[in-house]
Amino acid sequence: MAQIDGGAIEIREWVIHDIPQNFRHGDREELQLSEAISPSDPEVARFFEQKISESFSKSCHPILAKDDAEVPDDIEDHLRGNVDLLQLSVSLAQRLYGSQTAAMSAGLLVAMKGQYRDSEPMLAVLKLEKEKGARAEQEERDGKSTYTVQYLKDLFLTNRTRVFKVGIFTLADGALSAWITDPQSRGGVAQFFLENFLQCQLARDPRATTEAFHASAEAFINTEVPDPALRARYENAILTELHRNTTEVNLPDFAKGNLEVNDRDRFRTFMRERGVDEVFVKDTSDIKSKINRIQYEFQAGVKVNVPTESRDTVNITELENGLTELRVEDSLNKVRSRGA
Amino acid sequence: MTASAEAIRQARNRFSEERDAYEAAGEGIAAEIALASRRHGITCRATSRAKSVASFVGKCWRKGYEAPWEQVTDKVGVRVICDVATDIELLAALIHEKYQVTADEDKTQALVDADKVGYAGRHLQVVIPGIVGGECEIQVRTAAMDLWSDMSHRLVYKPNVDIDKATRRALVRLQTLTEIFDEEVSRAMKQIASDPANLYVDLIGFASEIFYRHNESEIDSQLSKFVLGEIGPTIGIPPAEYGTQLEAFGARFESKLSSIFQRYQGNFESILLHQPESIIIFERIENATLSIEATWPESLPRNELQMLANIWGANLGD
Repeated sequence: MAQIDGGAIEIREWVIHDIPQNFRHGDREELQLSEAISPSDPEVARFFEQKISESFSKSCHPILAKDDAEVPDDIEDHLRGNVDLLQLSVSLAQRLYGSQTAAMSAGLLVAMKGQYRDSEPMLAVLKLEKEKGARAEQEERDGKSTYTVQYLKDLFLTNRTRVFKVGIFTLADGALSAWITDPQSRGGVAQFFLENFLQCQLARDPRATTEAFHASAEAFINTEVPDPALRARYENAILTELHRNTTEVNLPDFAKGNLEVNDRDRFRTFMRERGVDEVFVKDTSDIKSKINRIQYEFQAGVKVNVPTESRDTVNITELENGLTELRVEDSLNKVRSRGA
Repeated sequence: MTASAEAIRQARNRFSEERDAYEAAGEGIAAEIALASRRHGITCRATSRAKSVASFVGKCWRKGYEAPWEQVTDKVGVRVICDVATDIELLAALIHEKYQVTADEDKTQALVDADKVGYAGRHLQVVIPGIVGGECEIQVRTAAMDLWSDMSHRLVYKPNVDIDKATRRALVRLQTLTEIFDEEVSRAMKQIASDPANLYVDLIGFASEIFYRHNESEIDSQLSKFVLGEIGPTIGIPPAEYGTQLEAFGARFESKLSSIFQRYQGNFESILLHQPESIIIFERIENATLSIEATWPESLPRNELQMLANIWGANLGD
């Protein structure tokens, strides 16, 4: 499944439901759901589109319906025109309220209807938390100009909001496609929103996507980067990224943080052409042994194996005569013969 | 053959009835040419005017037309005034591309051939779509040619006025001056275009060609020049070569661009979105995302880049 194009999302109408905190063992608040679609406002629609697009550009995972899942079926029914937006949103709100635990904060559920790539029916489901803020307004008091400040407790989705989750469902050529973004977690996808609420699962196996990233990134280094010192630096960066204590890899972030400006877009294109996702959930269990050592292989047959944790003891330099120098600064432990 | 009063009366009545339609058609053609020329990066002004009924009748009598309705071919005219004489050829080609041209005459050459004093542009006769048998004369000329034309119609071609040799000689000198004026304008324009500071001005033309396919907004050309002067050096591709790349981008993302400009019509949160340079920024965001992110000039607001990236759906990285 291709990555979603955030620029091709068009929002047309939406319904917002307030979802209070669910105290299972205490007083349970009455669920008061919206009874009508929100008034349409093109400026608000464009704002929602930009926020969703920004969110998907930072974290985007294709997802699939779980076996016998009701929610994706209901959404598909809506996309086929059998269930209206309000009716669907009410059932989604009830489901969200019913399945969330007391540990989860209150928030808003927004169901948005629109189209994708000019023709495909689309539904976006957003879970947002209310925010607080202040608004300053200039006014005249006793003939003098001053500012009054209003404290707002019911803001949501401000320009800096990062706390929200979005699922997008489209119907292309009769089949349901779906993606999820969860920039809040920056380390995978909130299990509750994906699995309990939307009843979906990641479409790609994180072990396979991580292996594809590793193999393709090394292929880029060995075929597209002639400078040996730069190759060594990039290889280090790949291993550091894979060893980092995060569960998501974001290619543009990786490129910006580790590659020279001229290599960044080339790297991205190279990876895209090999089908590596821009953002993926990281799982190194299939490549653990590969990323524990770095091997430097020279033309004359010399191979140097360096444990990842000792890679700082090795220094690579390109010499003026075009050859490469590998220097190891350490105490020599032992020397031994070894067969081919 | 002499004009028949009855034929002229019938033609006059018909023209009185249909004049509004000719006027509207002329305005439409002027607007189309103005838009197409902007897309091709040609600076010009296009105006239209339907002949007055009195002028229509006067011409019929003066020329002695026996089939006045058919023979008066300039019932409505469009005048296109360009900055540089060399643009006349480009505009004529553009008109040939857009309309069915039934006649095309280089008026300066025609005047020379007729041993007359003159400095004119190109006159093209085109079929007006939607009006049966309707035609429109499009005159393409420079501002200097226009000046000469106005003056000459009042002095040189005034009916029943004979011009003595000395006056004729003075008029030839005037004509030469207007020709020199145009040559100097062309030379100055070339000089400006070759100045490195204006190297990226061509990019505005390339971008405008795509921009106006999707947008009718009035643009701020000074802002375009400033923005492209800042972004241009970061593109790293010669302007002419980049023009081809931009055209390919415009064709590939025709539908996406159209949808974006339609949705954001009247939404001025982003200023650059309503400028032709937005096409270049979108192209960079699509094809060189991390380069434009790294080289975005400090003189331009960064939130504009972020907003355009969000509108396009691109990840600039954190």
